[in-house]
Amino acid sequence: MTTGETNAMSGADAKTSTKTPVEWGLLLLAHLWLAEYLEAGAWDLRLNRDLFGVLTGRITLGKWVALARRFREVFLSGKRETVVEGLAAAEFGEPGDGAHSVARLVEFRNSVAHGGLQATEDDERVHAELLAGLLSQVRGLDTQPILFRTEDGRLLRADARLPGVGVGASPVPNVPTEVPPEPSLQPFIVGRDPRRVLHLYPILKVVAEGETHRLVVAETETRKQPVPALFEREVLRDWYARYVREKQGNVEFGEALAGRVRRAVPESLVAEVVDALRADGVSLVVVEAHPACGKTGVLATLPDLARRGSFAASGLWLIEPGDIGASGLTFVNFLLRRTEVCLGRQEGTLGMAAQGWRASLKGSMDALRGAGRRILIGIEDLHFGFEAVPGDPVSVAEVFRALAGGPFAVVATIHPGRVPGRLPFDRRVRIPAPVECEIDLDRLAVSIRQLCPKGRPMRRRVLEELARRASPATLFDLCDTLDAQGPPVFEPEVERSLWDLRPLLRVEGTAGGKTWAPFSPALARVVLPGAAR
Amino acid sequence: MNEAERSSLAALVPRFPYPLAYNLGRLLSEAARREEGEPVPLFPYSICALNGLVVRLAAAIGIQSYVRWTGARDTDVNRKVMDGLRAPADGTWRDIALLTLRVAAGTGGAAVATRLFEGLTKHRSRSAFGARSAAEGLQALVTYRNRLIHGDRLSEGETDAALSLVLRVVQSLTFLAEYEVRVRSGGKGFRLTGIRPSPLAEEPRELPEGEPCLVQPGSGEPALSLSPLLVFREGTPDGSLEFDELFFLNAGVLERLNYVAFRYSRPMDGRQLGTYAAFRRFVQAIPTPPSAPEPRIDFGPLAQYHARLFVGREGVLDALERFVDERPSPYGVVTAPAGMGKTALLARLFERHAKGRPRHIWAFHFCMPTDGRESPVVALRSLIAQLCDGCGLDRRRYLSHDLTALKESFSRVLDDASGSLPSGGRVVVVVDALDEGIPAGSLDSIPSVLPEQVPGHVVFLVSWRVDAGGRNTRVDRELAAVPPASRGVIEGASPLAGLTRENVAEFLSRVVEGAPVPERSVEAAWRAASADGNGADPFFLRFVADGAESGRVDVTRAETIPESLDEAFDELWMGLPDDRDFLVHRILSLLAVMREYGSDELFVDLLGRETPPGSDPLTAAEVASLRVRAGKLLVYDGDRYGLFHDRFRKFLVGDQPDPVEAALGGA
Repeated sequence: MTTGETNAMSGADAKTSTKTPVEWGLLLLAHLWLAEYLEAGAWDLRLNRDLFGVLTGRITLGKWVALARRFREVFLSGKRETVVEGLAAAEFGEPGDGAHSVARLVEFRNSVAHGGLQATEDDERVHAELLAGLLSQVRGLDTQPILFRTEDGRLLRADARLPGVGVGASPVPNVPTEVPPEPSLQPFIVGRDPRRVLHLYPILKVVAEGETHRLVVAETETRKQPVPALFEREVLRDWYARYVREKQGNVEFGEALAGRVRRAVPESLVAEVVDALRADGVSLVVVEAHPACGKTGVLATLPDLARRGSFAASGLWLIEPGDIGASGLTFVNFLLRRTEVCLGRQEGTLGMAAQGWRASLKGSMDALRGAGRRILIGIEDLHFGFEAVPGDPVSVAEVFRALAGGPFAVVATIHPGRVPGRLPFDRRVRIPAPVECEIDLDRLAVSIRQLCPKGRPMRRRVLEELARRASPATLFDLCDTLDAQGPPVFEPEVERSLWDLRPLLRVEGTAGGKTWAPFSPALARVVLPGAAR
Repeated sequence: MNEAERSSLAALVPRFPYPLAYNLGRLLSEAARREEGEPVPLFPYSICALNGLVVRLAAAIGIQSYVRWTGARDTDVNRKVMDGLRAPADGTWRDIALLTLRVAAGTGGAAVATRLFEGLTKHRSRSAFGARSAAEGLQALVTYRNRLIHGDRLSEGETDAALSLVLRVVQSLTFLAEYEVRVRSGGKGFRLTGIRPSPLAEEPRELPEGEPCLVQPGSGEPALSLSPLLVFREGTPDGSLEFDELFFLNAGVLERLNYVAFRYSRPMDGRQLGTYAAFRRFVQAIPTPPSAPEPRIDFGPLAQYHARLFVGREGVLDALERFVDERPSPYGVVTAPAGMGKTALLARLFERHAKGRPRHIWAFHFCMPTDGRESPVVALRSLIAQLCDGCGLDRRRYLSHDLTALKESFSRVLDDASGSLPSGGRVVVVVDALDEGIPAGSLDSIPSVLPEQVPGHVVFLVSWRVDAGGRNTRVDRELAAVPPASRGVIEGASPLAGLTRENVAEFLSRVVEGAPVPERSVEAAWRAASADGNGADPFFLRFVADGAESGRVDVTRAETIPESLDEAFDELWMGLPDDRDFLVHRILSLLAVMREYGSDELFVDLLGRETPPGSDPLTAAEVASLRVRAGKLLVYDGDRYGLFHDRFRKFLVGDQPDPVEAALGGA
């Protein structure tokens, strides 16, 4: 693809609507990323779960962009190189960052899609420039053409010209010797190192229509096919089988949780949890702690506690936004599978949550009661489990509530102030903030990033200001200081930021007279530029 | 609706009158996106926008046909039209359209009105929401819109049905594609058809200057002017109006003439559009007598709402009954701070006595700023009608629209009622919330029309809100005609105390419909509700009940009950959406300061000015879509809304004086 073609695709020098080029340009990047990821071995468990989750449902342009963002992240964090030169240079912004060029392009495309609203010429021009700017960052789009062979063996180059999805093809002059003999009509890109080839089929494919050829994206197919052909590719087949098993409840988080534990849990805390679990009528125990203050360590002791106590089995569940642990249905399946193992029944005899989660769960609880058994379950970060994931009729938090008074004893960890509304529980164990040196700064940094996304700059301002202060501040103190720093603030926005930052703050006093401060001096070491780590 | 029918509708877009065509095209494209699984958050509003446009266009054609072909001689129709134009909602436009089209269609001259009336009323097979005709469809869509703007949770299925219905309604108007809206303006001509206005090759000299007209090209049918209900303006070079646009009358009285457009997102004042003279001529062409709607207000739903969870107060109710029987003074007074249950208490009396009791005749009025219930005219008419009905008197002898005459009638009906009372019987007039019966800017109020001299067989029970010191200076001032000696204190009701712990247990039990409530929950609720040491605060308990209904609170789990009202408000306030730079927070804060009801259009005016350069202008649909997420924090009077309670106002802005009271020097 040449710069001229890229510009044509972006609509920069075209008179036609920018809608189709925007769609095509973003889909092209997302599909190249998907191809790169598969070519590299599809190695990331969480990303594969996401990929299957997205591709087995209805997929929109926004979801493709979200996937592309994830592919880019795992490549960058794994320091892996793409075949398409500079593919990672085009970044997709953070979720919720509506000002980013990609978010603006998606918004524009959605608002003018299907020939509805008419875009003004200014709109067209501005968005064409945004798209051209995004694509121009990917050097490979200029230097590495998309190639394919015709059925009679000729090598052609796919031309990404308007309208984008259906494109023409042109012969490749002076065919280089290093071009591999790929099957006909299956597009590919040759890397700078000619031994590296990016296979684009079946993500992108070529359709022959007489003497003409069209490059099409798989996206049009995935809308019709529930499981796209690409799951059958060698690299994904095993992952997909595993994904299906996990959705049925055969998932383990013990290892992932153990990897988070940085220090031993004080015996007194464990004793407090044990006491809570021993009390009559207690089935829901909540462990509350500020981020990076050791609550995961408490969960990690549960299997041992179960063995020593009166529990027939145990299980650990980890909730991370967007991951399989956030699925309420999968959590119910997990409880069903644990019950079956505990009672020595065959897998699947207690059914699947999709058939009716309440009835399935009740069946499982009745079976345990009948056998006089109890199972100890640990849930890490329940505060991430309050929204049902798309397609699920239930959230993890709702399932947690439904376990009250039953034969499952549940120990759930939360951050203070991060749970929407008021959580039911039988006992609450609060972990005090440890001394500064015992706080896991890396985990704290993760929590701060989650709580202060780029789209919420006020939270960052508020947190930095609190971290700078030697003493707690009232809302009005803070507003005055932030006003003086400029630009002027809207008081409810500051108040809301404080509210949303409660997991990181110590709040004292009552309504009207509240003061706010970081829960630990360690916070300043993470948020303030130049502070010693 | 199948694909072929959708395609045929899409084919109408270039031929339909603007902006119907524009909105239809937009809705069809949004529907396609939605079906492909893309989020279209404002989709229900797009359905309502198209429906709103259909009813307005139909009403414009109906009214103008009616005036043109009948000479507007039916004063009953005239009154309904002019009443409707004061502040019409979609339902009003629909009713006006059907009424005027029916009359105009009967004249034989108005071809377009006849076709439109037939299109709307012809019976077809039953479609979504059970609608058999387009007219019934419009009604169902109005209901859908009202639920949407009041924040009801609408299912996807209901939205699918509404979409199907609005498209069927549009289908019934297919004949409009044979017509064009044209306008002659400043030596030029414009064709208002398709997705945007376009210039005509020649000036249409046969049309009146500046008046959008419905014409059927090539036919002999005379052009129908739609002005001043519809007004066209060319886009201006200075950018104050970015493109050519057609404006629809939004509210039409001579004091306030307001227009809206369906693409241009800001409202326009009649002053800006220069339509006052045309509107005055229009009003003169439609003479209107005084209106005479049913004067008796049905407070049954209000009483039912309060009855479901009413607990305790046996002592106060006994004291009220005793007061009526013994009549130690003409007026019995109930006072309490906001939220302590005055209205619930008097609603309880309504439940007991509204249907009449052998000895006494009861009449009720609950003052509130909805449906004119704060107006002394409305209050007196309702009370008079109730008393006439209760005593077998002829209402017509007493009812009037003139306040002076009404005051006299009210005294007369109180006297005349004695003839139908049994021995020892009384006429009992209950007026709740006198403080809400003092309309801002009005010379008269409900407390000010209460009689100084009260016949011996009549007793008034009145209530009003007081501050922490037990005072309400506005009510004191308005009630000056009733001397202190005529006001009797009702035991336990001045001021009302809080509820008992037993009442709290009973209340919670009612919330869970009789299921057992753990002692821990009762204790938690009692502790939180009685924090000020004056018994349990009924407002807090009502809040817990709302929380249980919405799933925020589980009454059987003590730890989910808020520890105080402020904490509960905090959670609600912080849980509001922060979209559009905290628009909902800004609206609620403004409502707290204003103390008046607001509307989406008002907040577009007030807050749209703060839109940063480069951002999309704020629209009423956007305000509506965010505002409904404030849920029960708002109460509605038609399309206008205010804060649901003064306690929430206090939470937001503290103990600020009422600006009206402050202006009057009473604070």
